[in-house]
Formats: sequence, C-alpha cells, structure tokens
Amino acid sequence: MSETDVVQALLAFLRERFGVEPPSADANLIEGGILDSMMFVDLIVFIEERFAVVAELDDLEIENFATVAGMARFVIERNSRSRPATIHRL
Amino acid sequence: MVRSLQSYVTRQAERRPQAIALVGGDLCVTYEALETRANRLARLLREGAAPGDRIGLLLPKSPAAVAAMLATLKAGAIYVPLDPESPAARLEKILRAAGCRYLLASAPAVPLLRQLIPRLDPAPRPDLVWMGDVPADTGDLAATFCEADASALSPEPLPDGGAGDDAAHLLFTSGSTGAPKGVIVAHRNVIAFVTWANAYFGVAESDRVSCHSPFAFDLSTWDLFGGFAAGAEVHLVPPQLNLFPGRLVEFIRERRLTQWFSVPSLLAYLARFDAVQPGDFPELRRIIWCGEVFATPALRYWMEQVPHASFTNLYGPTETTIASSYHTVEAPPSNPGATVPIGRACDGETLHILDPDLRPLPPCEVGEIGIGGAGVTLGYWRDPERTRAAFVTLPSEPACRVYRTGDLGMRDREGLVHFLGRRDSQIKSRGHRIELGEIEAALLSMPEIGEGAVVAFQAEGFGGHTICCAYVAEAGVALSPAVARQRLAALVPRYMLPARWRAMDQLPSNANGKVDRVALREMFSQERGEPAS
Repeated sequence: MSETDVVQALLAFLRERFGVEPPSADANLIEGGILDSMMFVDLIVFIEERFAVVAELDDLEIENFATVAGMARFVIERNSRSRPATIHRL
Repeated sequence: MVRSLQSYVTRQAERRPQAIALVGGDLCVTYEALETRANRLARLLREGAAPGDRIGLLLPKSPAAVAAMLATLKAGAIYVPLDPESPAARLEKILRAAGCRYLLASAPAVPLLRQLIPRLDPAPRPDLVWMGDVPADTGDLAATFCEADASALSPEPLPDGGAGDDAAHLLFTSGSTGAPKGVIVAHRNVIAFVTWANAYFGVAESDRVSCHSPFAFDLSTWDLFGGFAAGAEVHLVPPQLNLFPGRLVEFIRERRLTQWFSVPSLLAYLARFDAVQPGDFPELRRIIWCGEVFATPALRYWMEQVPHASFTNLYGPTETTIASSYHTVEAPPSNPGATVPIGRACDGETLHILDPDLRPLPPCEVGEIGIGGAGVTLGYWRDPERTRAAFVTLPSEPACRVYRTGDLGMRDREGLVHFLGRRDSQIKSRGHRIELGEIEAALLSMPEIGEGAVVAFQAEGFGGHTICCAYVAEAGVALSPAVARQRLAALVPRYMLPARWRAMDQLPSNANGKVDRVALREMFSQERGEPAS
C-alpha cells in the first residue's frame, strides 16, 4: 500500500464518517479546529484497525496526527516494522 | 468580609505583591502586576462605561483576559466572556442580547472581528478597545482606544466597583430555541461558592491550580477567583493541548499542579490513551470534575494511577453558579455500569427532588432536581419570561427561590442525590451543555435544507454524547454532508457541530407523522455497533 492509498482511505473516512473535507492532505486539522477529541479517537481506532498499526502515547504528536499526510506517513513508517500491541484500552 | 471578586486580588497584592497569581504560556504574572494592570485599565473603562454596563471580552485565554475581567469589575461593570472559537453569527446574537458598551479584543480576533462588526450594524454596537499590543493590520477596524492609553493612569486600587448583589458577569448558555441565554451571575453568588469550596478543599497559598475550562464557561470562575482568594498560582491550560494526551500530562508534571479541575471527558480521554504513568504527579492533591458523568472505568484508572489524590464530583448548572453539590469518592463503584452520586448540597445551598407540581418527593423517588440557596443567580438577561419559568418558589417553602434544573434525580436512603438524566433534549458532549434544539434551529435556517433533525446517542466510555445530523436537501439542491457541515460551522460553535452526518431522501417518521428520532438514533449508533441510549 502506498502513501497515496493511505491518504485516499483517510480522506474517504473523514468524508463519510464526519462530513469533513480537508482542503488538502497538508491542511492542519487541529489548528483548523476540524477534529475534536471524540473524532480523534474514532480516527485513531480506524487507522489502527484498517492499517494494522498501533498508535502509542508517544506517537500521538502534532507532527504525526495534525494532517492527513502526517497520518499517512505514520502508517507507512509503522507498517515497515512490527511492534507488539500494548496500548491500554478502556 | 469579602464583598467583591476583584478584592481577592487587591488583598493579595497588598499582602504578597511578588507572589505569582497567574501563569499563562511563558508568562508569570504577580499579584501586584495583575492588580496594577487592572486598576489602570479600570480607570480608562470608567470614563465611558457606567456601573452595570456590559463589557464584552473577545480574548484568548490569557493573563490579558483576566486583567480585563478584573478591570471591568473595578469599573462597576459586567463582563461578558466571549469564546473566540465561536462563529460570528453566534457571537452576534450574544452581543445583541448583552448590549455591550465596549468590546475588548486583541490581535488573534482580527479576522473574526472583520466578520462580526459589520453584522452588528445598524444596531448600536460596542466600541472596540485593543488589549495589549495594537494589532499591526487592523484594516478598517477602528478602535476607540487601546490599553496603552491607560499607562499614565494611577495604578492604585479603585475605591468602589461592583459588589454583593451587583452582577459580575453574564454567561451565555445554549438555548433550545436557537438563541443563547445569558445567565446573570452576581458577585455574592461566586463568593458563596469560593468560600465553601476553598474551605472544603483546603485551597492554600502553596497551591498551583489548573484553569482548564474556557473563560466563557463557569468552571473557570472558581479556578480564577478560588485561586486568587487563596493567593495560589493559577495555571492557564492552553486549549491546543487538549487533543494530545502526552502533552497534557507533561503540562501537569512540569507545572507540578496540586489541583486539577475539568470536565470528566478530558480525564477519560487521558485514561483512554493510558497517558498517566505510575508515580506521576506526586504533588497533585485533588482531582475534581464537574459538568457531566465521569465514566466509572476511567475514574477507576485515575484512582489507581494517582492514589495519593482525593477525587470529588461537583454538580450544578451555570444558573446556580459553578456547582451546588459535591461527593468525594472513597473508592470507585465496584460495578462499572454504576455512577458516582452527585452527593449533598454545598454549604448555603439546598437540593430538592420535586414532582411536577414542585412538591418535594420522598427518598428513592425520581423527580426533577431543584436548587436553592446562595448560588441561585439573578436569572436570564432581559428575559423575564424564561426567568419566571425556570426560577420559581416552592409551594412548601414560599421564601425559597429555586432553579429548576431540568435534570432528573433521586435521593437515596443515606441522603445522597443521584443524577438520572434529563427531562428534555439537552445533552452533554465533552462537558459542554448543548440544546439539540439550538443546533436544529441553525440547521433549518440554512436555505439548502428541506428537512433536518439533530439527535444524539451516548458514546461508549467517554465524551458523553455523539451529536448526529440527518437531513434532506431542498428539492433540486445538491448538498453533500461536507458542505452542509461547513455551512453549519458558520452558525454554531465547533463543540455543537454534529460528528455524524447522513443525507437522506426522506427522514423516517413515526405513527404521528413526526420525525422518528428513536429510529435516527438507532441508525447512527449502529454505524459503530454501539447500543442506542
């Protein structure tokens, strides 16, 4: 799966689930106030399930998750190595 | 005996001028600096504002905003905190209702002001005042004066100002018909809560307390004035940290906070990401929440991670000032489905469980929660009808003025009150109190919308309700959910924007021909496989 595929999948999720259409993959969804905490959790669950990656606390940084492009880079980078899933789930 | 909110700061500035009052961003502000800044500005404001005039504050969460609040009170006026994240259309409604003499703003608000100010014409509009540095590019925005004009004025305390029964601020909450309602909070209302809460929690000079809530919401009133009353440090939590659990816990660690007060959804969000390490926050003594139900699994997580802190649930709407009841949790409920009681009335306040005729109900019966006593505010700004409907006297106690909360509750045999939901369609989402009717009214005001309905379901685990919108576009109009959402974002604040959208050919209707909201809730909640509430 290429970075472009991940970007497309994320944009489709944002559009279909939240009715959100970011102006570009580089648009800041946090500063723009587009994502709130509940949407953020939904989005992370989607990323983890769809791309079989685990986002741990230290990954949840502005650099990774403020833009669709950043999330796609995170997914590709994380897919290239395997890590144990240890994140705490309530 | 303290009679005014501003005197808390004056007293500390006299006793401990160099003690830190506020930390905002990289800025530490001493009590003396806060006091003199507010005194100078108050003298300037007083030249144009009479006692009882309203002054709007369109300022980011910052020491400047706190100085502006104090200056307003010192001038005998009433401050109206405005959320700079709100769209111009909603701020316009609030400013029109409040009828402000001045609007205090700073550089970050310039783009919003460019939309807002023309909307206020031709009605009488507030004079614009720049706080702090005058923005470089203000375009055609003309300010009447700026804070620097006060620099030559006396820094000495002002002899008078608002006190006691005088209104201190108007706080606008969501209204079911689409117009926000302004709750009039008097100095004495806040002083009564601060007096009880600071004594109950033992807030002291040595405390470093969080200020997490935005200034337009009343939890921040205790953070600020409770902190100032004790001579503590008040640490403004930057709103941009909210989405990043790692940064938020780092903030609590670095600032060595001793008290944390927020809506529980934020605490549950941090628990969701297991953000707290064992042994974290050794100096954190109190964790206090208010505004909605704290999901028990998340509460248990916090109690396990921070065993040395006390955990207290506060309850109460804006109409009765910050909070009216409390319950300190000794151990988390053993059943994850059980919730923490809202407890007993704070000193000077009373909780009533009422039948529809406002008669008190015996223990274990469910009725509407009424609140009486020192926190009961003056009512809704220029809205005698709504004030009469919500602020009533009880047939059994004609001297007792009671606010009808619209919340359902029950008093158990031990005398603890339990919250059991709402009578109406008001919901809580991430601690925000929202009338679904306000969102629906805004949606239906959009010309592209033929039919529409806004419903909510209880999300699992944290965050309260998920708001959902189903609509049918006007015949011949193509309206995608993304565009509909964007249009609605110009009318309501972000926290009211539905998180789920569905364009439909027609809305489901029930046997009476009305929109079938139960079916809509089912539809949205099943999207995720979660049960409808």
